[in-house]
Amino acid sequence: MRTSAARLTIVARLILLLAVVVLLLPDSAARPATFSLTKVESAKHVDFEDGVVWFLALGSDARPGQAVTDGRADAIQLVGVDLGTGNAVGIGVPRDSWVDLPEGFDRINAALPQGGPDLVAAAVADLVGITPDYVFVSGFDGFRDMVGAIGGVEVQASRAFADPEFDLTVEKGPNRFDATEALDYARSRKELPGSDFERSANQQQLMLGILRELRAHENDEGFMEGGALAALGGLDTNLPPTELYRLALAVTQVEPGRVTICVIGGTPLNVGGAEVIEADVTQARRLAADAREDARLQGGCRD
Amino acid sequence: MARGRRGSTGKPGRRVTVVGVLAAVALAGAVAGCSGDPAEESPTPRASVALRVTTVEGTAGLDERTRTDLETEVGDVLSRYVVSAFLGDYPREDFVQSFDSFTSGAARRAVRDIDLLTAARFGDATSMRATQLDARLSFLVDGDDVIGTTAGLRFGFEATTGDGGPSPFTMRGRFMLVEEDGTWSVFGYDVSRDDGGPVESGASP
Repeated sequence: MRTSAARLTIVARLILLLAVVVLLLPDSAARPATFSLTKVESAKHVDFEDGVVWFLALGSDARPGQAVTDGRADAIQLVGVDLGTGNAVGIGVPRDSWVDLPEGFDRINAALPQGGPDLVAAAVADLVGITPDYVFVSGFDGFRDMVGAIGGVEVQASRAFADPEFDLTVEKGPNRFDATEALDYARSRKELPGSDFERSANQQQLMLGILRELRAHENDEGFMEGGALAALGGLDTNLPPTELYRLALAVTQVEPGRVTICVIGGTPLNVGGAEVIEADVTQARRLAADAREDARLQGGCRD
Repeated sequence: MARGRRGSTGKPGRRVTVVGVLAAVALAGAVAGCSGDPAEESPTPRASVALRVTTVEGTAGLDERTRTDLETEVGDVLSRYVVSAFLGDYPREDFVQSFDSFTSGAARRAVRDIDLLTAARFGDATSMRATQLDARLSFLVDGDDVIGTTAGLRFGFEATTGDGGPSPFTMRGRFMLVEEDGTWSVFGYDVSRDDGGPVESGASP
């Protein structure tokens, strides 16, 4: 009579033999190895308009109690978005650009109080050669409300600087700004070697930062609606509310890596004691020709 | 143009009560299945669950009745979509009609994404039922004007095919809707689809 230990030894040998057979016998065919991983596919589209949509984003320096369209446009950014490809382009216009307005030559930022958003759009169209489809004007409070509604913004700064006028300290690289700091960063100019040109570039970095915030939180319940509501309250625009909502959601389709930006250059001029800029119209027209059809600066910013 | 709504109140805006039980969805799921010789019929599939519509954001300034109206209106749009895109009588091929409530641009693009936005891949199924239909609404309301909403969707389905057991699959993500002239339209979508199939790697022995 076999002992239980002997039976266990036999069973163990059988298992070993079976394992050897399984390992040595060739398969009749290659078998796919199956992992516990399922394939998830995704689809995304937001219907706004076909082709490139051009909008002009203006930052007004209107003071409290003043209509935003009564202030001067100290931030002038022409933005093109191709919602089909996800490309976007930002062209910054120096606020001191010396242009011909109905009341005579003046800085382009004076177009806002002289003739409202339409006159700024016309002046930008004269300079760049692209007529914006929509114009947005934001004042200080409106901008703060919008940035506050999305919980602040992270901005990539090209240089470190401190601006005592705004009690603002900026580190080179990523900076997390609350709404007030973001506004101060957008306004800060005196401590920047590149002055108005560099400020315009900083404003573009702010816009990129806002885009990144929108994309990061677009799936949070109520996030886009909160941001859109702040925009409705903080913007003066010719876009109806439903279209503004659609545009806000459509813009989040744009990946920041597909955004190209440039600030129009120029030459300082002294006109009757006033420091102004003779904008580089040749460059402006070249940028427009490059980006008009596809919202992308494939030729770069400068020659 | 967004429609003005009356009845502003100071009541809290977060609303988690299930308000929408849409008979059309349940009915469509219950009647799904192929007809034929009763002796050859597979067991009657279980009925679909109902669509649950919940408002989570944006209606703080509206009264109860207005909120309920909004949920019903958006729920009706989503309900019609679910029936057209996933339920109905199988086998079927008419999935393209699922986008009737989409804006023209969104519908054109949705046709390209039809495999992810409908059950077109399961057109040969013998029946289909919904196992989860949840929609969480975040409204954009400016004063009395209702402008739009994002519907967070968690949909689950189970297709019965002739060659095996039930095949579960899910669609999750967002639908974006606006109200214009009293009509809600889907102008955007951002969805992910998991049809449950394992990702296979062709490894040689």
